[in-house]
Amino acid sequence: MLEIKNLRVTVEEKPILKGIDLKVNAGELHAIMGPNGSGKSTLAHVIAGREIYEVAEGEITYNGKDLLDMDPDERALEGVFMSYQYPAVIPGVNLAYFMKAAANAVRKHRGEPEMDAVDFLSFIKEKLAEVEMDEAYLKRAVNDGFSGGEKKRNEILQMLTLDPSLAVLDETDSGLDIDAVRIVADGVNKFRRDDRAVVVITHYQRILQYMDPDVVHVLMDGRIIRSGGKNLAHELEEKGYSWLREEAAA
Amino acid sequence: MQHFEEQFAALSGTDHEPPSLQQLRQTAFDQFKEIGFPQQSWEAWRFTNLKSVERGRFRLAAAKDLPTISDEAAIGLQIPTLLFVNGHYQPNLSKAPAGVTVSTLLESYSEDAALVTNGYDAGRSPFAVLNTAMMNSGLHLRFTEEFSSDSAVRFLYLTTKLSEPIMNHPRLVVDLADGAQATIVEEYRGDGEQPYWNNALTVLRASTNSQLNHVRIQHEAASASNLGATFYQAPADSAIHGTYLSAGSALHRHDVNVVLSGEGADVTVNGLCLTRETEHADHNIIMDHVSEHVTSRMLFKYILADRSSGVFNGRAVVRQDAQKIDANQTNNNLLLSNDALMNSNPQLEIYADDVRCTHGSTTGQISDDALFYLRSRGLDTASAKALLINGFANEVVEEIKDDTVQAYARDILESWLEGVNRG
Repeated sequence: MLEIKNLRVTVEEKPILKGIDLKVNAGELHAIMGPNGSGKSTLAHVIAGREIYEVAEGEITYNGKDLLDMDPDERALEGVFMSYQYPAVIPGVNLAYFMKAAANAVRKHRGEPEMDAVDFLSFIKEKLAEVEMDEAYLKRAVNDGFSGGEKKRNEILQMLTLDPSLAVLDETDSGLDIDAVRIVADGVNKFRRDDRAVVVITHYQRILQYMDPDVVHVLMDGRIIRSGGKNLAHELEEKGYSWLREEAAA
Repeated sequence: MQHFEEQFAALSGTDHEPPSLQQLRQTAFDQFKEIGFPQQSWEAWRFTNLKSVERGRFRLAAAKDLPTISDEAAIGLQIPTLLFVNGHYQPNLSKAPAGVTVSTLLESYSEDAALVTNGYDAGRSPFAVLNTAMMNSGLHLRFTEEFSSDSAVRFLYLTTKLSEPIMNHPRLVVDLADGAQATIVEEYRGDGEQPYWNNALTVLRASTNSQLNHVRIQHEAASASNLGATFYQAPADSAIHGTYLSAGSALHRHDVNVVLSGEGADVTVNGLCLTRETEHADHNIIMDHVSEHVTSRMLFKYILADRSSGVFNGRAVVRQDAQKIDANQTNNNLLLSNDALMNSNPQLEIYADDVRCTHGSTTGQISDDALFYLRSRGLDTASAKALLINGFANEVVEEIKDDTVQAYARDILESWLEGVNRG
């Protein structure tokens, strides 16, 4: 579904990603772990299409299409979803209005009929229940005054609502208490399907305890320096990142 | 000034007015001559150039300026409307709900001069003074104890199909009986290429326990200048909620003066000001807290496109005896272009010592983070921007208490946005 080849990315001429290769198949869940500043968030933003990151070299294909050639909204309509570590606040726009606009944009793109207010309300209520969010959120401005945990649940709500094929979750567990981590992980598990892929980007392996990653990658200094199974996450939890750094240097 | 003297002389030629009114006009006109047109060296007019009005050679509207008009002109908002066309009252196309007494200014002046002249202090404002000298149209509305309608009542001042540059000096005076609740829409609308100038003065006198919702909508033609002043009287236990929606005219300047004179008075004055191309809009608000135990809020938002410019001067004055008051003043501005310009100047002038006053001002562009966030959920750039702009404006629009009027305000915002997007 997603194939990244030799991806090199710079920000203000400073190299951040220094040759990433990654292949994620439909049905798989990949975890990308790494210390702060390793380039994890940059990778997520480049997949989503943030313009401030300059792709100096390499390619990303998504379902056989050149992802880098697509605008951010086009990527979203084609089924690429990113959950943000720090979701933007949208003052004055209530969640219901925003989600209806986004859900209908996706439906329109797929040639499906758009939902009216009544249909949308019953649809979104189901999704809210899945992430244990109260209906009162629908009337609140998007992320305005939301706690860290509320923001992350809201991201998962959007993922479940927009029905993407590829979800890239950037530090979705950071700043969450244990209950919120479970709710978020449950949301991701419900989302998983044979025709969907998930990339979970995280500093800690905590959230992975609630998931079942097929592959764990370690990203350090702009490169994936090791890939392995689920056990790699446990190993990192025990030993930290420094042993890998030393190994890589050796 | 000679042009204005000629215009004034033409006006004085009519003798159907009582001598005391003619004297009132003369005194005001002398005062206008003494004060003169505002100069940019004057603090309150620093950022607003009035040369186009001073040199526009506008003549007072005359009978020949009245085009044939059907009531379709009033369409846009299906509520009881008092219609003026090019300065001429159209009683046949107007209606007011039961419990509202509608009088011409001359009728009310003849009954009691104070009905037309009390409730405001023109001070050194040349345009308020000029309005007294030249007031040539307008109404006095009395919302009596019998008034009980939920519907808003509109004063619509339409300017259309002009063949020459004209000016009007409308005056709207509104009295609310004790305990009355009313929503008043005051709308200035126009079209066409011909320049025109409206210099309006509005006096809104609330009573004890009355509740006044006032929405002033200014969407004049792009060729127009709309200047004016509104004076609110907020006595004890009155509640006033004013909204200023401005979405047109090349030059717009509006002064709002609020006097909170009795305990328990509660006043909100909000504004949403939309400017584009080379338009200039200037609001000067004075919230005067005279009594103790009063509350006020002021929230003005500007959205500026292209090379347009805006000015916000908000001043909360707290008199020495006005203890235990709560005043809040906010001005937020959104620049849609690098060439747009905003001058914001919120001020506090506090002479009492036990008060709660806050003020703040922000000016910025659309957030890249927010825009990207919306695009990454599938909204195209134009839709995402529109959503963010609507969100910014919403805080003011959603506070309009009447649903019909609120929907009308949203329509005006939407068509303004379409105009900006078309470029």
